[in-house]
Amino acid sequence: MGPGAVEKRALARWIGKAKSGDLDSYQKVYQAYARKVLNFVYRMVGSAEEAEDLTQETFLTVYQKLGSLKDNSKFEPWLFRIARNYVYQRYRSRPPAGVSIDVQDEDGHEVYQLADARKNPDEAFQAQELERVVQEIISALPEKYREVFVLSALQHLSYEEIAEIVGRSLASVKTDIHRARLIVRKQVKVYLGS
Amino acid sequence: MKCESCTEDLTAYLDGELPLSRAEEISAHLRDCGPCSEELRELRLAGEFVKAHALSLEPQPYLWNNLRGRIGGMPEQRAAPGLLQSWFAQRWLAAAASLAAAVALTLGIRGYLGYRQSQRSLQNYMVSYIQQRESQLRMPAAAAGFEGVFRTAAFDGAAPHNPFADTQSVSFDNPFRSGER
Repeated sequence: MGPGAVEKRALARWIGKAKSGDLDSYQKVYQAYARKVLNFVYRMVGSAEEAEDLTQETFLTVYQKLGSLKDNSKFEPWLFRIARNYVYQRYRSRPPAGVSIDVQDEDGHEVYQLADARKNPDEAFQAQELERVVQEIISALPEKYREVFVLSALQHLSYEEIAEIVGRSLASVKTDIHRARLIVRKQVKVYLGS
Repeated sequence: MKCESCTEDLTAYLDGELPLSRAEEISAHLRDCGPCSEELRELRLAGEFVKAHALSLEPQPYLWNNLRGRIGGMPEQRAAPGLLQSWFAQRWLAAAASLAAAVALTLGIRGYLGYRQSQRSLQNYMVSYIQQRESQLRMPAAAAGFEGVFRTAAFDGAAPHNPFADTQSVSFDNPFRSGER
């Protein structure tokens, strides 16, 4: 979860210092947003490894271009816009990966940790299955619905921020979010029935 | 309110994105409409299901370490100057450039004048030297009475007067030639 309202002033201060090259302040900015960006990218590309690569590229670009950000309060939409650009660049060069919840990279290293701790193998298996299902549902959404769905339902950004990120009108974003939710509801219905 | 109008706004209603007046209209309709209430319930449950089961990744420490390493290899970050700062910087730059141009112009003019002065001095010296040399050459020639010969003949391209010309026309008889015969 990103910084709350109380932390926004601190965040603006860190961004200000990071603009002058203060790496410790930039680390705090990174810590506040890395998880959100990583998960947004992951839900868009469907691969944890690629999500890590693109998250790293995003934060590198953010550091390089931070001086061009005029209004520090617009940091979050700006950050997601950069992440989104990387996602689409990757799409252009290579189609998004299918559903992949592998937790190891090619060398056998763990590439991410699950956010929740599983108590026993059955629970772990069930949780993993449901994660796979959800990621499949998200991946199956048409591209323009997927990003607004992820940004609203999972990243909890406001419609206004989403419109800024995707560069579309508020009305168009509102309509697309609703359509995406209708598709998701239809897909999820079978699981809710049980 | 018609159900169609209500369902269009149900997602925004759930997300708290509707203006207050519109949200109140929807709430009022939902109190009286079973199908719309059921639609709202399903949308809410689907949203909660996805939120509950969406895999959430945690950024690993090596992500930041890699990033930090890459940032370390980049040129130093510089903040974009603020508007006021940039205005001052531009003014100072303009003033410094004007001063440098003025100094360069002054030095250039001084250099040119100095050059002209030295050229003029050299020219004057050369003229006076030539005049001096000419007068030195003229004096012994006039004293020997050859001034006109040396000057006019040489400069007019005419053959110089040869004071020994008469001697060239004298023929000598060989006193021994007839004796041999």
